[in-house]
Amino acid sequence: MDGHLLEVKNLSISFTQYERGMRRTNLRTIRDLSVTVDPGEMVAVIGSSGSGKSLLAHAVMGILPYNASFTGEIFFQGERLTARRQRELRGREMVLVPQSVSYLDPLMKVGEQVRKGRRDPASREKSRQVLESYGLGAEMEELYPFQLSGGMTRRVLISTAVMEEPKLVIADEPTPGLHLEAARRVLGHFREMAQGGAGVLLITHDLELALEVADRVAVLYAGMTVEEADSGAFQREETLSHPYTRALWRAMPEHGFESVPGVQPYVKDMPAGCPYRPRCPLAGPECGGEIPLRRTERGWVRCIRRREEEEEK
Amino acid sequence: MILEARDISFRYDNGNRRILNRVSLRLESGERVGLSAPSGFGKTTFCKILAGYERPESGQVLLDHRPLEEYGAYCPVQMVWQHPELSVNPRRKMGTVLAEGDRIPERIVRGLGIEKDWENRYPGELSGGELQRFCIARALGERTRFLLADEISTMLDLITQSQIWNFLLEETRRRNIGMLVVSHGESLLNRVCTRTEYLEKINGGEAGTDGRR
Amino acid sequence: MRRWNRRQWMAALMVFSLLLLILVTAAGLSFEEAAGVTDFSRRNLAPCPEYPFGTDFMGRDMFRRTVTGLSVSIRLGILTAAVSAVIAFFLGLGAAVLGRGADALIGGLIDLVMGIPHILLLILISFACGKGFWGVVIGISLTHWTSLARLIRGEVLQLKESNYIKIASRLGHGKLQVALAHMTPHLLPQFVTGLVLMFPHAILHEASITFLGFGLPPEEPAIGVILSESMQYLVMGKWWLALFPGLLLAGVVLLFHFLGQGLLLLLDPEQAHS
Repeated sequence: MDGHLLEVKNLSISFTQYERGMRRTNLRTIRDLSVTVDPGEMVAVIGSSGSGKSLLAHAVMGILPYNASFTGEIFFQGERLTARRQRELRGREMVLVPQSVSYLDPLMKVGEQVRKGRRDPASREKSRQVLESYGLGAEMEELYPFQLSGGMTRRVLISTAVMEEPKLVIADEPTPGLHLEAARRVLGHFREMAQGGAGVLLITHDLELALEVADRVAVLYAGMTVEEADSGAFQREETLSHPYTRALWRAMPEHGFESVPGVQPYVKDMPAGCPYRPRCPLAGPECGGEIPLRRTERGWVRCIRRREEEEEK
Repeated sequence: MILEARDISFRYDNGNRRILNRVSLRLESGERVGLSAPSGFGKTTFCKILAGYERPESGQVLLDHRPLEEYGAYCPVQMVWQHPELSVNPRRKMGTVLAEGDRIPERIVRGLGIEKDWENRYPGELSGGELQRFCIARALGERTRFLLADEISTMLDLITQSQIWNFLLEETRRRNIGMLVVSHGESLLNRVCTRTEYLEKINGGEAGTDGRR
Repeated sequence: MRRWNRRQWMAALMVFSLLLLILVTAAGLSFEEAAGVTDFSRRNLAPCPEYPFGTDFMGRDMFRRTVTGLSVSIRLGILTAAVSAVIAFFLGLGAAVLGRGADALIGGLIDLVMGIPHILLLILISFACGKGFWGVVIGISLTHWTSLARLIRGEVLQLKESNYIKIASRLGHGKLQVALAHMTPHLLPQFVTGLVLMFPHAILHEASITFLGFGLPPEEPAIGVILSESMQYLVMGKWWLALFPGLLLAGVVLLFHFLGQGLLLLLDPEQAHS
């Protein structure tokens, strides 16, 4: 398939690590994650915290920790991403806006940080413009990271990213700790980048906010993409396909605040087949096998039962 | 009971900016007050002061008109933090985390959906949502009269959020516990709170993100 | 057979070195009598199949003497390192938990002990305690706790700032309870590793002051005594008197060092990925 700016196909990421003492375990945190991003499009990947969704960003950028390994394929502009290609592209064609302050150099002033140490007048002018466009005045350039509030840090991180006019922007959890207004403003900035022609991959746990800005939303459950649909599909429950996505919809405070019992399985106790099976009202024995992707009107879904249900009608 | 913050002012040792300036708030048993403010306005700091973690520079925290410190070692005002993974000791099993609380009844543990098997695990082996359930249970000991929830469901998925809040609504009603709910989610505050206060309005001074000096 | 992973290899090697050390200690104990036997008919023999390490000017079997000396060193090392580590643990914990005054006092004490050259202080204390076995034990115990105490104090200070410790105190847990229940699990790996890594220092320092004549008495078959006696004969070409005891001492020290590093790897959860 070509035409996609970024295409992630059946990505699985596992970790080897030692537990107390000598037992070595292999944790498969992400399995069968698929997502595409087109130029000028903003795609959100939704998953709860600890679901390992940041690893998606790290895999695309090629900065997974050394004890992690992945299978699956990642394409950038139709070309397969290799470690070498990733080194060439990252920071230029594709950039990551990381989630926390710890990614800023604590001993470097904001201005230098954004300019990445360059001192020429052109860079200064550029960084001034970029910071200004995010509402950060000239006096901000003289501050150190620890002096920034959460919202300002995010804006600095974004400024650092857009300095290079990238084609692909990956935003990893850009909103936690921000007040609604600030969060909306930050997401608005990403929206602007998409309007400017870049592809934006937004990785977040906040479905409500993502729906406000994203074109399409991919929902992760226990490290697996269970459904992808356009944001409009989330207006009504009926246009959603996967039982988990529907439960998510009903749990929104404005849609009834209903809670389905149970929890997402921990990586080690992951059931075979559909991970939502233990909580799913529709689950049957065949859900324990391989679940193929299936097209729907609004995107695609990874569920067998829903189709059977539809066919019965 | 009444939990009252009177003219609380606070600044951190290292900073010269005063984040809280003569903030007052009154909270009664059974009430659920939402607290909203832009980031950097000291919501967490305010909670920490109300729960006795920090002492205010000036002003008082009163519980039934008596200073909070007079209530002995167990603080009747308990706070649940935003990041559960930082709130539990990584070297202790989750069962001992529950035991840290003040005689947590089985009803609470089950009500929060905590499974027996989790109690034998270390925090690193549970997800954020699972850990947060333990943190909430731990804070709901017998002597707890007020619960401060500082963005407790911000990092969780919507289903976990609704599970936790539905439980908390029921439990606080049953025991007539007063709650302060800090959140940036308007829809959540509307859903769970009896009223909402805006810290930027009750905060008297120059405080705030962009007003730094 | 399933292939072993790196940690299992590590653990196996550690068990092997531990067994080796125990063997040396036990052998030394059983040789104690034989090590002192003098026989002038076999004076100054070079290493040979019968006496692999040779014999000395009094015809004593150097192999037995060396092993006995090492055994003495190891036992002394364990005793002094243990006493030192316990001092370090409580002073470190106390500095961090008891408040500013105690912290300043203990901090000052650490700086004081660290500031004086180790060997000098050791000699002074040992000498003041009348040299011999107890002089050495007290001297080493009182001088080796500083860096571990500092480490533990730092760790405790950091722990005190963590949310879960603060929460515990708001839940009504007393200072002692917090220190024992919440902090000790974090400090234990540091403590054990620090303890094991202290052995080599203790052993070397024991050998040094004995060598200098401020430690164990000359009639004891200690490594320090053996080495200082050998000095007089080295110039006469009796190289084996110093070489084998010296090598074995270095070997024992390295084994303990390896054990300590291994423990650090296995116990420290931050090393989960290596």
